[in-house]
Amino acid sequence: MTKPIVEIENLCVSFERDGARTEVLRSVDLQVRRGEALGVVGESGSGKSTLFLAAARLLPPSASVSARKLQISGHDVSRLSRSKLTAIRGATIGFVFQDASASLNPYLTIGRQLCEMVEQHRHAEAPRAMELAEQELAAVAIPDPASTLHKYPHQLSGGQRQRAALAMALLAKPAVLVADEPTTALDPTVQAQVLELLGRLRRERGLALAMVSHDLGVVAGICDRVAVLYAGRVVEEAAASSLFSRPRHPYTAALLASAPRLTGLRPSRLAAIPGTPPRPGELPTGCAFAPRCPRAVSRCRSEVPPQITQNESRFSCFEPLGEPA
Amino acid sequence: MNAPLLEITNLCVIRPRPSGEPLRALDRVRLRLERKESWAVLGESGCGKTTLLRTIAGLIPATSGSIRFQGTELIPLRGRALAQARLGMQMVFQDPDASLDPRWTIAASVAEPIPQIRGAERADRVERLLRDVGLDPSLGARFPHELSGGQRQRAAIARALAPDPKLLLLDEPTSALDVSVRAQIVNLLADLSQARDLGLLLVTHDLPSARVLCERALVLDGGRIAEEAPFEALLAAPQSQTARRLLAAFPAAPVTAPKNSVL
Amino acid sequence: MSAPQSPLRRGLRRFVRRRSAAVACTLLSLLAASALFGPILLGDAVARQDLALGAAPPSWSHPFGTDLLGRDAFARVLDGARLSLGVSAAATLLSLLIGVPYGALAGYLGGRIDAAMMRLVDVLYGLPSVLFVLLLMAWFGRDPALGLPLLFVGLGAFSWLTTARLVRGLVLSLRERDFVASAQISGAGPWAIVLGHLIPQTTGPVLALATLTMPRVLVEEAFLSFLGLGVGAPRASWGTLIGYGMESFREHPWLVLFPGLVLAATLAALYSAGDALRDAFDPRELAR
Repeated sequence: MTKPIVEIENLCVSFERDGARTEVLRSVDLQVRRGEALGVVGESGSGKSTLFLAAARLLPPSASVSARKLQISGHDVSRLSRSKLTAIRGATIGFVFQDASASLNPYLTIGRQLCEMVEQHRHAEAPRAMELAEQELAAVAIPDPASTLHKYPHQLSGGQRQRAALAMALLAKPAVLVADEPTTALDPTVQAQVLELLGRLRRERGLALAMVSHDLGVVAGICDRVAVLYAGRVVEEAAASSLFSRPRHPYTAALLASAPRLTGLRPSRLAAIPGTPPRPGELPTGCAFAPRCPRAVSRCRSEVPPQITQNESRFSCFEPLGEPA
Repeated sequence: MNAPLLEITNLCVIRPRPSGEPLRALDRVRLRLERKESWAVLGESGCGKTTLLRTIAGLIPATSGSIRFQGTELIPLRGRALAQARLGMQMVFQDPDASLDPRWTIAASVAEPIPQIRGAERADRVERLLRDVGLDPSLGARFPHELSGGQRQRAAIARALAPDPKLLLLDEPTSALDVSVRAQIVNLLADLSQARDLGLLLVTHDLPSARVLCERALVLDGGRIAEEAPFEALLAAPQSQTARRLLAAFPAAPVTAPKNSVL
Repeated sequence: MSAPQSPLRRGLRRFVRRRSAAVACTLLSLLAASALFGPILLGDAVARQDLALGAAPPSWSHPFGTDLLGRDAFARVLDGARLSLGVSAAATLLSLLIGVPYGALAGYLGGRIDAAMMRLVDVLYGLPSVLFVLLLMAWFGRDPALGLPLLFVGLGAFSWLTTARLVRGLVLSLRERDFVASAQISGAGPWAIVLGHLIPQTTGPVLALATLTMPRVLVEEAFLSFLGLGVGAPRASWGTLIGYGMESFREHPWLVLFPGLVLAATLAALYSAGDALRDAFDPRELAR
């Protein structure tokens, strides 16, 4: 097995607000290995976006983070000083967010911003930096990269902005790229193109990818492994193929069942999961999914189910589905 | 004589632009929606689907053309007459966070479209409406920020139902919601439109939800109608480029039914 | 979950939790209370003269000292609070009563009406308010009975401009929100929308601005009175007291020091209350 690029063990994150503490992540273990694409799936309040921000120590001071292990590319992130952390961050972990304009400065041209990234992380000077920037724009399939260098972010379409943000993250040559809902704000047709691009980049460059999304469908296309988050815990993690064909945790199964399809006869209703996801800070005792779970037994409501590891997969449930043959 | 519920002919919305040609947000759009019929309006962003909905609702002025609702021409109407004529159509917005006034209680928001009903009858109505959308009536005393996204959207639907409309305009009603909650709202809308003989005009990216709710589909591209067909026919054999593109983008993933379903 | 909480109550609760806000509010309510009830308790102490005593430094019987006519400076400062706080509070209230509906209507109606309404505001903005008060005074003469109302009109005529601008700006962006569209579709008229949906959303920023308007008016009033253009004898605002004290500052510094300190403390309290209010009603906070 290859050495993991990101290693997270027993990560707990809580926020303090108005004197009250709200737990957002509760003892999360997760690894991203070299060249692997990991999907992290969860709904709002599941803590999915906090996860990698915490790993890169990018959370605001109101967050308290504790972990047994927090390593990126062999650096112990939890022990590094602020300045050291800033120096290695772009080169170890890159981010692409849902809103591309959040990572692009509206007052600077795309070229200027990309060059800054090159100068900072690859120590190349002006003409060479511009060249690298143009190459990277071509790699993310922006039409006419040379002229795009001289454009401002608002002159690009949403899909192109996302590609430019992606190029910027890639220029630092990160060991792992975190894509947080990178296609949610885009049109379905553009979404499909950007997903295809991510898949291709990963294959061609052996890039490790962590894809954070609320949408199983988005993750299914390009990820090798998928971790499902619910209310701050990883409830199931498995190879994508087995997770989609044989989910063990009822939440995963319910999500899959409600993931809509367009084939077959026209349904008169959709398969729905009852109830709503719990808000952080208002978690039930026991398994957080129990109140919505069709398989829940009394034990689920009183005890937190321990993690069961089988082969390459793990899940936390007292009443899992479908024992493997 | 039976006038269609909504009949739109040659509707144009043209907006001036600071530079260049004026933008044709809607270009000679026509549609005829019968009573209890439901249509999906599909297309990529910028195709004019939200503009269409907002123009029908009177939020955006039409440049030319005609919008007849239950036999009444809406475009020349202003003020009170317009408000009266369009009470029969209500709108549900994408983000219930933005469509409910954060400083009003849920009950007050739900009752806003029915100012003529007062006192105990008003409270009764609100309670019934909340029950109809699957909310506990006690939530009426709460403020929007105290509800979950799904509950808020239910409240927004209850509010839209208050004046007993014949047509619901739905602007991506599920896209701001959690995945595990979306199906609930789609099912609720399906049930309500059945029970209340509602016509629906649904703008969405979510093809499977549209399939559950709508019989016909209207595909827009650049403000014009690219295709209009029964929904199932569109799925089976899309005629226009636009429709083919939309269908090809779905699903982005080979998610198939798991063998061990719980639902 | 506890009882439902309106955004207004949540904002106020957050406000009260801030220590600086609590200190500022305590100070302000103390001042307001003494302005209201002080003169009643003191009786005729304000007017009582003790020519034999003359200007005396602070002592146990006269904590702020006495002035040239032997009047108790503490009583005079309390009486001044009544005038100074009264005028500035009234002008601030006026700024809300005119500015909020004016700005909201301009912002909601938009287009030419908005342009015309805001042009008027721009013109008034261009006029120096002090000059306007001077003109009023010159026109009506230095009748002591007219001093207070003129001051009020002069300051009030300008205090609402910033409020109107702020509210218009807020309403311009608020009216694009879906809940306004939603209210329109459900048949609400323009007044119902302005009063029911738009103005309530502006509470936080408007309150915060009011806490800036009040000290500004307070300073303007003090300045005018210091120049002898405001409140006339026998009444005296803080500005009058300071101006009067300046005449013999070297011999009797306490006559300037105490009203000045009280004025400064009031201003500081108002500003810190404003800061806290702005934070407490920050929309980003309320959204959560």
